[in-house]
Amino acid sequence: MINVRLYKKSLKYSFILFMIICSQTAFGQTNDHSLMSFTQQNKDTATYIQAHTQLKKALARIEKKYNVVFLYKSDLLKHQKVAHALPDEGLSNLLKDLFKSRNLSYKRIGSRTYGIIKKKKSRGTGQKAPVHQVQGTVTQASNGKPLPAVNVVVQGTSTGTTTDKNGHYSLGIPSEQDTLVFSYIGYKTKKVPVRGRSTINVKMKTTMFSSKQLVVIGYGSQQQENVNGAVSTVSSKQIKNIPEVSVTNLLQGQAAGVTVTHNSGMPGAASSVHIRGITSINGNNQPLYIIDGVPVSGDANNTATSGQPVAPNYGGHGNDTVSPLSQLDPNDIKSITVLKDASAEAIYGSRGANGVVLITTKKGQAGQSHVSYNGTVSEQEPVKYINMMNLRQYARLQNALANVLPGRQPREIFSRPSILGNGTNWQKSLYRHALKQSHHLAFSGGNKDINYYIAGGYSNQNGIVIGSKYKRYTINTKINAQVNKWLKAGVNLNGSTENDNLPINGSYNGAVNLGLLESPEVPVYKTDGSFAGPGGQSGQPSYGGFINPIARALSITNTVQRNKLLGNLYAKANLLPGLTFKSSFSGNIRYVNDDVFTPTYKWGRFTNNQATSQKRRQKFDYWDWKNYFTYKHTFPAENQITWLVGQEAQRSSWEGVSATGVGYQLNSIHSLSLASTPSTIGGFKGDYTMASYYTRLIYSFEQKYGLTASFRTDGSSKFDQGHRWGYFPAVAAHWDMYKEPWMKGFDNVVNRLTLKAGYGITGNQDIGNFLYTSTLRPIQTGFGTSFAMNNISNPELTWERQKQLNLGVNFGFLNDRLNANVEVYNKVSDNFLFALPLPNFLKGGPGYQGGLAPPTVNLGKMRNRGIDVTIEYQTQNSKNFSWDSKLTFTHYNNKVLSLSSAASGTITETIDNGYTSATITKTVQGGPIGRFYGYKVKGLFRDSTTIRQQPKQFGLGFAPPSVSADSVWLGDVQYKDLNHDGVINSKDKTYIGNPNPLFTYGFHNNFNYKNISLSIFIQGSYGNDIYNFTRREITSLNSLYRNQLASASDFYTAKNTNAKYPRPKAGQANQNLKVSSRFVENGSYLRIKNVQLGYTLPKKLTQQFDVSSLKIYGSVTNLHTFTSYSGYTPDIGSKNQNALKAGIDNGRYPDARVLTLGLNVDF
Amino acid sequence: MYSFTRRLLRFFLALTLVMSLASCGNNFLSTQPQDTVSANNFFKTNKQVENSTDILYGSPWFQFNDKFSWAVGDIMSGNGRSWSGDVTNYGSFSLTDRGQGGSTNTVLTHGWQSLWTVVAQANSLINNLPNRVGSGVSKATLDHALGEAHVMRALAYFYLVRLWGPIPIIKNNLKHVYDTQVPRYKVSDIYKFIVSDLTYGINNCKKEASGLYNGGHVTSGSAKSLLSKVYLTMGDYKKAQQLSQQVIDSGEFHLLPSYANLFKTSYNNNIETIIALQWAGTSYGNGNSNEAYFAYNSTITGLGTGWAELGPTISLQNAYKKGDKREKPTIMLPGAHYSEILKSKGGYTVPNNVSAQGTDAATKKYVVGTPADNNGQGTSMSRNNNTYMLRYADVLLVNSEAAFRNGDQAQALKSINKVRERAGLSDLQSVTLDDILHCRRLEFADESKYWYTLARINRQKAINMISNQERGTYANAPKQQPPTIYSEKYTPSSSKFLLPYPEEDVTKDPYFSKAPQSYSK
Repeated sequence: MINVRLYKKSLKYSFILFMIICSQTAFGQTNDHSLMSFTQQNKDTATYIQAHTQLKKALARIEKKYNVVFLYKSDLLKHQKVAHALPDEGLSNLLKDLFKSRNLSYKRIGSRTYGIIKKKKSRGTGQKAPVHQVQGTVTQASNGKPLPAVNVVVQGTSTGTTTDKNGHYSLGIPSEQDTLVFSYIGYKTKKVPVRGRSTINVKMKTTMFSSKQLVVIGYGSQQQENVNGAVSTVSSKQIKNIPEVSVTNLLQGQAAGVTVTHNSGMPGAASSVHIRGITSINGNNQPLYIIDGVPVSGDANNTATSGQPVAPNYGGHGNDTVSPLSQLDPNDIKSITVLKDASAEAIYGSRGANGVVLITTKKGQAGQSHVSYNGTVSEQEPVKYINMMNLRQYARLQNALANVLPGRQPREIFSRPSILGNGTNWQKSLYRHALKQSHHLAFSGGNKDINYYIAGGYSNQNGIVIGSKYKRYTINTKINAQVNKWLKAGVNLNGSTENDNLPINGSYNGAVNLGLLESPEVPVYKTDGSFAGPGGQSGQPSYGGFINPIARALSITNTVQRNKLLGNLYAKANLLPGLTFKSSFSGNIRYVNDDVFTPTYKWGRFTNNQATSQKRRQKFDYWDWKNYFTYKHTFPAENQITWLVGQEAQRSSWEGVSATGVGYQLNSIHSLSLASTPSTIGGFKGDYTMASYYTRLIYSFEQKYGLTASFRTDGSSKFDQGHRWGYFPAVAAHWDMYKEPWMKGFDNVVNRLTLKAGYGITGNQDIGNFLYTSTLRPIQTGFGTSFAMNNISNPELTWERQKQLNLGVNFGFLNDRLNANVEVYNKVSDNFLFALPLPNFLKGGPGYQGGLAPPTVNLGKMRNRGIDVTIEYQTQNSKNFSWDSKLTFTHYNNKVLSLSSAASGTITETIDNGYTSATITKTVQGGPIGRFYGYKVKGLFRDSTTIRQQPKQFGLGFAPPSVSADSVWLGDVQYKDLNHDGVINSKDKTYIGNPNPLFTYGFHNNFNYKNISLSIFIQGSYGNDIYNFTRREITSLNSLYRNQLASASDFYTAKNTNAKYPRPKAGQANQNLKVSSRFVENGSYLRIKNVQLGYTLPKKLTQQFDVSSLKIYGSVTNLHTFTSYSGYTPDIGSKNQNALKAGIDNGRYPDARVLTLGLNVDF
Repeated sequence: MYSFTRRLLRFFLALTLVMSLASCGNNFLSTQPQDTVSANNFFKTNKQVENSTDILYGSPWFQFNDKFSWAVGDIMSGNGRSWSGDVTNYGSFSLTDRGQGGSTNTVLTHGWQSLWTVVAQANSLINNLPNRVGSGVSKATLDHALGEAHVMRALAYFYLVRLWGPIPIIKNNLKHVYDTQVPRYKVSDIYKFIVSDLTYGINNCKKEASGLYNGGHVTSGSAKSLLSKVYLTMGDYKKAQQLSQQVIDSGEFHLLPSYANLFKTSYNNNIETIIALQWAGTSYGNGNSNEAYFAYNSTITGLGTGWAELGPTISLQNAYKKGDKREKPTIMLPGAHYSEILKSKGGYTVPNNVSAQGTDAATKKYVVGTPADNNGQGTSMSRNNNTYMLRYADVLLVNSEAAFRNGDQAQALKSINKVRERAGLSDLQSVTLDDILHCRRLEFADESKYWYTLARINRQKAINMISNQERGTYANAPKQQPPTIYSEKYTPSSSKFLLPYPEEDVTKDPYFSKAPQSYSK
């Protein structure tokens, strides 16, 4: 009977609030009244109040006479008249008589104040006294779960109630022949004639695919079927219980048109999210995220703000950016809307060019008090080990290599490989089974005037690579209040603190690569328990080998602590009928502390006598103030307009200091105050601002035709005066064809058919500051601080524009159980912003060494064309079993239409292993972005008779190694002479692979049988290539002291001419190791991303403990991946979100398999 | 009525709020740099202009000095050897051949980038200073700054042309931004350009009676010294002798009495210095990082660095005659004691099993010891010991060689003997070209200079000299007498005397695969 108590309480609170709200109005009205005579003192028989007097007037009269005040809503007493003439029999009798047989009641709320309210529940005093009591439970047809907060109303009356949290309701109704109407958002309204029954249990079906569902669009919301632009939605149900810490990872495969790649399996790492292809040629291609109205950039590199990553990426080599969205606990997310086309995005104007992801967090529901707990415990395990050599194989390889590499000789200790053991298995030591847990507790509730949501979350994840770790605490609160009749206000706050531990990864000298390359002859630990290293044992030379990756991961600490507070405060006023004004202020504050400590160590030949502590303290502040009017008006014949006009100002500012202290006596305390050498200190500071104006008109005619037109203009401080303002118009329309009368005949085939079209322009300004002017950079020299020219300015710099045409169609078949949405688009980025790829002879080296930053320019054109398909299916609801399914399909084709001749028509990116830096991708006019570029391999030279007739390679002569160390001979890689000029040189390079997939897909299936649920999520990518740089390293056969793939022993020798691998050759730059098709692999994969089996305990059982629902489940993430890729994980992603460096595996942190046990409890 | 007016009032309040915010427009959007200086607001005082050239002695040279200079100057020339993957191909002449596609070697790219960084920064001063200086800046100050910028630009081009031959000539980077396809120019034209820059430097830089200007900046005499070396390289021995003689006669520079002291931080900008890089030594990128690679171990540096990546070849070790005072400050041999390293522990003694890169020796030059040995200065991979770009001994040897080639035996002897005397060697009575080249090799060993000597002399002679160098290793311990040598000897073809261009530039500028043009601007 909890519900009754709650009901009573809420009634009381709402009553008081109501009194306060209404007081003004009521007082106002009493004054308006003309005075009535109150001289009559005849108490007994005289008629004090005439029959048919308006109740309002009667009360006014009483007020005067008895010096009391009645408070009521002005429209409450409309049409209420006094039935019979009443004598003055004293205040209490008068009131009794006046309110007898009315749906109103009064209550004394002060010494001389009475409040009048509507009777909510018939208590035997109504005009139509309830004659019949009905009660029952409302459940979801699909799974039998109770549905709380369902409106239950007697048809044609205002008598009604709502279901409690157990779906239970109880209602007195006037007649046994009444009909009850059950309604709830997202479900089909159900009318049930009572027919004398006293128990009516109802099962409610969801509106198929919730077409009436409200979809959050920019600066407002709209019914899904009326949305003119291209949007994809992801509901909390879709992502529920998938144990991902970060929301961006959850998006993978969930929405058509959204391509998500994990850039790293490191806990807390940034993903790449591309909405409808790759829009911009360099820099940030990440969408803008709007978390409850607060914009958050998806760019992990902070390009547009400080330009500083939150953690140092080890000289630019590592792939270790952390997710800028990790602060959000996915448990707090209610829905995600992805705005994909220009007409939807244009209202975000400048920042919408890469797409917009609107994330709405949960809020409290009126009439429902909820406590819910979600908890998971997971074990993560490595999915795959690469078959590297053991010590015996390694020893044989070392002997073989020593015989052929110059200046080497076999080592004594390897003279008899067969007697050796297995040696160290570095992978087994580096990877671990790691625990992850998360807990989330949420309280929510509310009444019609106020709702709240309060939640706290905790996640703790150890990575599968030793030393990596992520921990997060979050709080999330949201309060919305109807302050008074015309004013609504609300606040939401999201606070988080995150702690990352980041070992070096995703680079040539990262933990993953060294875990493969480190020699099995080197132990992890010495006998005394301290870390070992190459060169630390007798028989080992004082050179060669790699630093112990485990020692490094555990000893060199890189901790990032991020404290964030993101919030929004708004007030919304109803000004005139249909006209509202909303003022919304958002803030996003981030403090980032990064501490790297390198202790003193001696790991074999690797020693460090001087401990170093590097600290970075960064602060980012952001605020955004939006003010807008919305005018809604419905004309006759269902002509509806919604007109928005508004203004917005944003400011981002940042400041940071970095300091390095050197020379610590202790390895345990890292404070700068303990450094023996004075610290070096650096700093940065800056800000940027934007001002915007926008308007949008949404017009809908007969719910059949819809039109959205919007216009936004943004001014940005990133550009010089005269180039600051960008203009972003958009228009879109839809036609609900199935609502046409002539479609009636096809009802049993198609029950939904909507066509839509849209076109619009969005912009992009996510570049660094002051690129339009030239600045000087302070640099230390022996003379003191000097100033270097920092950049080549471009005063003409202005907005990048992107034009997009979108065409879409929605189908519904089989009574709306099968729904399909197909959209095609053509998106052209024009005048895109990019730093001119100047040759080295014009720009020099890196900026901190005095190199010139090339000018950022508006040049070039790129096109993305694609198709997004979503197909959803849901079974007819049967009693016990249901199945729903969603398939998303994403295809895009990216093409660079023009690049300025200044850029020589090409943009190249290089890959670096510390010794060589080779062009790896090349982007040219007419082709897609970031294709791999190198030589095509014909095979190995195996034929001594014809070798000299083959095209000469790289100017090297054909000669056996005994004659020349620098020649081409049998066993070397033979490259293809693509231009048939008889020599192999850089002119024979071509495109050897494309990291852009032909398509990506996601396939969701949810099965429910009674209390058991099963969900299977499959996701994948097809047609993309991977450049496996890691494989190049582990089959390089170019020097001693590095471990190799077990199969790499099959290298060419005079005795093994049928070998798979070329002959060993010294040097990192030797011609066999050139960027070539040898290392390109098919990156297609199909991954069983998540399988989850859940069981909801029977209600009968749980109710005894006041638990409304209890679900336990187990799931496996990354259960299996079908792929031919030979590396750890085919979902490579791009290096630090750089779209030009996609699909290159250079020691990418592998994805783990995650076994989870979880519990959902609702009270 | 009343209620409606109130609503209207609210509406206008809201409207006013919007309008007032709207009006903040352009002021709101005009932000100012907060952590850097706008180029338009600088160069306003004599002091600012005087210091504007400081940058040309520091970080722009970092990548050049880091590994590239010695990979070419010493490894390629046979003074040093290394297995280190990024530099090992220099010793075996197995960098990608020129013209057959660009090189992907990171060290090579860094060296190239670095020299062009110097050019870019010098250009920005040359092109901006005259327009931007404030009225308070004296002509003498401006002239000197421009003179320095020309000298440093010439120095960078001098390296570029000797290493890569035909290259673009960039006088103003901004002019090429939107048309990056710049031809390579003929070597002779590049030398003309260098001569013209140095002549400008001679005429505009301050003329000092003794030593460098303002704590390390080049002078008119520095420019003249460099020009004499340029002429020697060009084969204009007459001018080379004439100019070097002028420098010698001016008395501006002198030999430092102790060769060993040349390489100590406390002797930065000594009387022998003509042009030197001026390192801050406070963080990576602004200091001399040579020691990190050269030092035999981290005990010597106290900074965790000391990777022994450069080992003196057997050829170099055998080149020293007994009593040559240059040997000990250049290479570390087993058992040698260095009192200036680890001073607090009474010095450092080289272990008997020393073997950098299999050479049974290690590198000493540019190794300065722990920060404590250097007044607490220096951090990991960043020391504050100057890098010599040109010192007086070089001018003497330029003079000696030019005189020799001009048939002036007397002057040739006079100059070389000055260098020999300091090295503790007896005076020569007659001199041959080999004597001069040999003296040059040892005088500047591990100073990244020898390659340029080999590259400018008679090509066949150079090939013969190189092919006789033992670049291999000694067998692992235990040591025998005579030691077992795993020999490595290389015979470079003539085409190996120029380096390949970095792949990136070849890809971006098609002129790199076309014939060089004449420069007429």
